[in-house]
Amino acid sequence: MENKIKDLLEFQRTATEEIRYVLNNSIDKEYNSVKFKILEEELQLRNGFISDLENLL
Amino acid sequence: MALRIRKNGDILCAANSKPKKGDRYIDDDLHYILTAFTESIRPSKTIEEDNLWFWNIKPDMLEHLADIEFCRHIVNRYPKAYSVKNSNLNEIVKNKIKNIDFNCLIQFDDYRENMEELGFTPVESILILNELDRVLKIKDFSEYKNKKWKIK
Repeated sequence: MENKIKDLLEFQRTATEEIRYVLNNSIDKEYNSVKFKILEEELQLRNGFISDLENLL
Repeated sequence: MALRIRKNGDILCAANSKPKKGDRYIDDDLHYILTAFTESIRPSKTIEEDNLWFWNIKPDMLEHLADIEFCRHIVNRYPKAYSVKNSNLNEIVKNKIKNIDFNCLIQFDDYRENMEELGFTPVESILILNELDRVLKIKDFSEYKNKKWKIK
């Protein structure tokens, strides 16, 4: 189980970084930058449980 | 019930979705840990239709999530609202442009208490703020209209 959680956390970290990269490199810096901030904040919120999972290890 | 997480972040029921390259498979045991034990993920309210799960939100962050959703709604409804730089707002204040469009209107929310100090007459201030209130009275979001929705 520990390995499964580690794998999942690693996957989630990588996926989050990739999503950030795509967002950051595909936006119109002027108006879509706000959309990016919204997504970025939501992404951060939705990753709030990662630290709980890390504590399980 | 097993799940799979797409590389784009979508979490789906494994039985009702086809695998794609890069998916992370979550078996029954791990799913149990994530839902019943840590409550890290939760099903969509319309899971029977969309087959989706989400990473959960901590209870103390739900209010912030509501703010984010409100921001998203405003940005989607008034796409250019946040693209206007402060200089545009300053220009309106300086020149007292009468026809304020939505792009700048929303920004006056930060100046509710200082409209007259900005140089607007009381009547102009009321007209602007009434229009702002009208914009903010949006279905399903009216309870947030007095909240700060400005993005950091």
